[in-house]
Amino acid sequence: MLESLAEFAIQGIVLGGLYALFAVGLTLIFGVLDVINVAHGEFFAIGGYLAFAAIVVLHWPGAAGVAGAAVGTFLLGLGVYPLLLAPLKRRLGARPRGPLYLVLTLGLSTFLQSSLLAAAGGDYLRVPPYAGGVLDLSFTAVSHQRLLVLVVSIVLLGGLFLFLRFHREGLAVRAVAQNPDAAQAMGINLPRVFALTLALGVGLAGAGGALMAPLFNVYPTVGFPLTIKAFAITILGGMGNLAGALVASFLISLAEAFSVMLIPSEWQNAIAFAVMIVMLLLRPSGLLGGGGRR
Amino acid sequence: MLRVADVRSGYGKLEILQSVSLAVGEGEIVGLIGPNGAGKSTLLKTAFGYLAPFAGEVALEGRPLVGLRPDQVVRLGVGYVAQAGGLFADMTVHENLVLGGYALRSSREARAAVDELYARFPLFAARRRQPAGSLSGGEQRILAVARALAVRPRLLLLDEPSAALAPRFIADVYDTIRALNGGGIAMLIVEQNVEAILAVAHRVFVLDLGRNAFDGTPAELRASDRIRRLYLGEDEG
Amino acid sequence: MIARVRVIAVPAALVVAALLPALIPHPFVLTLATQAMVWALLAASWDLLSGYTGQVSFGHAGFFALGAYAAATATKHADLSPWLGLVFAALVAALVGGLAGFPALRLRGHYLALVTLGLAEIVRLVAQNWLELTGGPFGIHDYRTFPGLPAAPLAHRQARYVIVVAIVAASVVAMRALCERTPAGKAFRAIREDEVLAEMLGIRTTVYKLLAFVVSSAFAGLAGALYAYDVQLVSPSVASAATTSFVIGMAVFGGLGTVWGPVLGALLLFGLSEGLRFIGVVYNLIAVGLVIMIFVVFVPRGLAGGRRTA
Repeated sequence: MLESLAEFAIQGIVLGGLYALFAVGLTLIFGVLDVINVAHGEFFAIGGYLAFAAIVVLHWPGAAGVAGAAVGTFLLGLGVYPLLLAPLKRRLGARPRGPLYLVLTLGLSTFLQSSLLAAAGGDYLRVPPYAGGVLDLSFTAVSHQRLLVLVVSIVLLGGLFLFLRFHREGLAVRAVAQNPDAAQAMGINLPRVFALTLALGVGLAGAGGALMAPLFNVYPTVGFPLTIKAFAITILGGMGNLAGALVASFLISLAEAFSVMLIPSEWQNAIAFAVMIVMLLLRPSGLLGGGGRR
Repeated sequence: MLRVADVRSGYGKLEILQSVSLAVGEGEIVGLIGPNGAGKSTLLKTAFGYLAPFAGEVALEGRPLVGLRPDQVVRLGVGYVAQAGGLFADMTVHENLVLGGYALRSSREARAAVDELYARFPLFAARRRQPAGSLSGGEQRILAVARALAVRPRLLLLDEPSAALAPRFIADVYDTIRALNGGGIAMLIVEQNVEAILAVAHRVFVLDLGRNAFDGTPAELRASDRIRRLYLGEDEG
Repeated sequence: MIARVRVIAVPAALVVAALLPALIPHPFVLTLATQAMVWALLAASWDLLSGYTGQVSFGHAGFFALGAYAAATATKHADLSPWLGLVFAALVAALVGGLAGFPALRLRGHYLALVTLGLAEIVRLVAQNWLELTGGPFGIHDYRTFPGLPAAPLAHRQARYVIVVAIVAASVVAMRALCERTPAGKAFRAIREDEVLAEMLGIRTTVYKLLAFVVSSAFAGLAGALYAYDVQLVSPSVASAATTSFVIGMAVFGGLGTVWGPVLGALLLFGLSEGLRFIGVVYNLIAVGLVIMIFVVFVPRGLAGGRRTA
């Protein structure tokens, strides 16, 4: 019994690392641009496809493949603000029409998903593990691939937090999230920060997709369920609250991992949505309260 | 150094400034007063690039500013302090000052600028790790001004530096303003507190209903019966 | 100009739709036309809530699937007459829509879209996992359709088409009338333009938001039931986000906040999408994504050129 508890905990923590990578990027984008990126999961899928292309097709080493996939997704993400969001923003002017941005990114999601299907087909593509072997913890064993996912997630998230805390471009990102007008008066170029933040957020998703490719396989809709789950996580953590998203990622992943003891595993995926709806009814500002702008 | 000529401006389709002109000379403090809704803040926002004028010209030392974003105007040597300061309240005093130096070329330059500010405002050196929002109202206003100084602007645009402050803090803020002007910085100050601004301004413009209603020295303003009756009387009440 | 086009185009489209079985008596064409009509009803129901009242739903696939499953299971397991099945489906969807509407009384914008998306996802999971009732991933089939239709294949299709067109047309007219001819319609518009102001003007916004939810989900459920009786197979994929995306694409294409614009958008986008299937089965959804993006950004009023966007 204790052994299986430990095993579920480890599963939950590894999954939590992935959720955090995904949800923190989504939350960052929401906090700075006030836009919920419905297409976030498609960038996760793109990361997986880029990793497949680099590692399986071009025979790059694993680390280079993952890095290449993250950079590739980042570069694609750079185009989203200037090409899609900025034109809508210009048209709307000062009118706050949040839902239209949702519809717009939903369109982007559909477009990217079906483009991936057209370009690569619907087959599950396999990517070999980046790290072989298992770590034996006597009571349970964890594959090195899963540990790698966790470690890299922690490193990337740690890097992001250091960047936001100490680097002056990171300070600029936080300044824009708090008060865009005042940030502009500091000499911060808003369109540039918007474009960079969006690219950074989806770049993290791309890195996640590349890291998970050996565990999940790669197919066009691989990221979409994650997007919906990440909505639940951001609501649990408080919209726009990065630390909240981090905590909520692990809460949801652990709840999912332990749930298999109580409910059939096919209902595992419903937990996040149930949590989301309950939270919205009881405490829309999130567990940690406050949170970002609405 | 700043020239605003026949500017019409406003929000969306709503025209607030119907035709306004003014000028700020080298090293001058210019006050901009008038009743609520006269368009004083709108003028400041238009000069700084937050709003695009429908017509007219804004120029800094002969260089047109219309069409530039605020972050581009800052780089030309213009600082802007919003009404209520526009501080990043959840970020620390230090982070606010570092952001003040964002427009400088390198982070080394920015660090030097922040150190200089700490030397000038020792109060903030002691509180560098405190969230800016936890300072008192007067300290916040001075921090906002200090932050705008990091890039060594030659012109500062101040939107109601005394708004919602207790009298002793107003005196502190205006001491700071006077000291900065002594160092050669020109200023355009929007103010409701007419006494405070008349005490420091070299020249005053009065706006009413989006048009110029008066310009001259504070002494001329006090001598003008019409303007006194219209504006000074109201604001002192 | 646009008004004149509308005066000519709408009756012309109706006449063409009504005469289609006689004009092109071909089973394949009629099958597609019937499906297009079902989508038109779904798009119009989404627009009533999201375009007209401004409460953006990302969960209409869920209401649609609820209606489809309610109709199919009631007819299959309880031998309910399909005519009553239509009513039953609308009631089930309206009930769930009303329950989902409660959070909407307090939530705005982002949150509402997310909660409705979560709701649709729960419907999909239930459909996939409740094997006894829903047939699981393979879906539910082998249940009867409308009784008393001719046996000859072409005549059967023609009759089914006429039934669907009649119900869809009546529903769209009813929704349009609700929006344009009643105090509820005025309240919907007021809520969309400025909810706080609407409340200050004495409009009971909670009541009318709930009403919009219930009416919209009822018609979405009705569309689901028509789908179920027409296609004769309901699988969990109807509840997927792709369905919602398709519907929103149709509404944006046709013009938000007009009810009839999304009907037009649905017929055209469905036609375009089916046409693209001949080139390759994946291109239709690329087109849907492109239509949404281009129309939201550049053609906010849609083809119908209706009133201001949601």
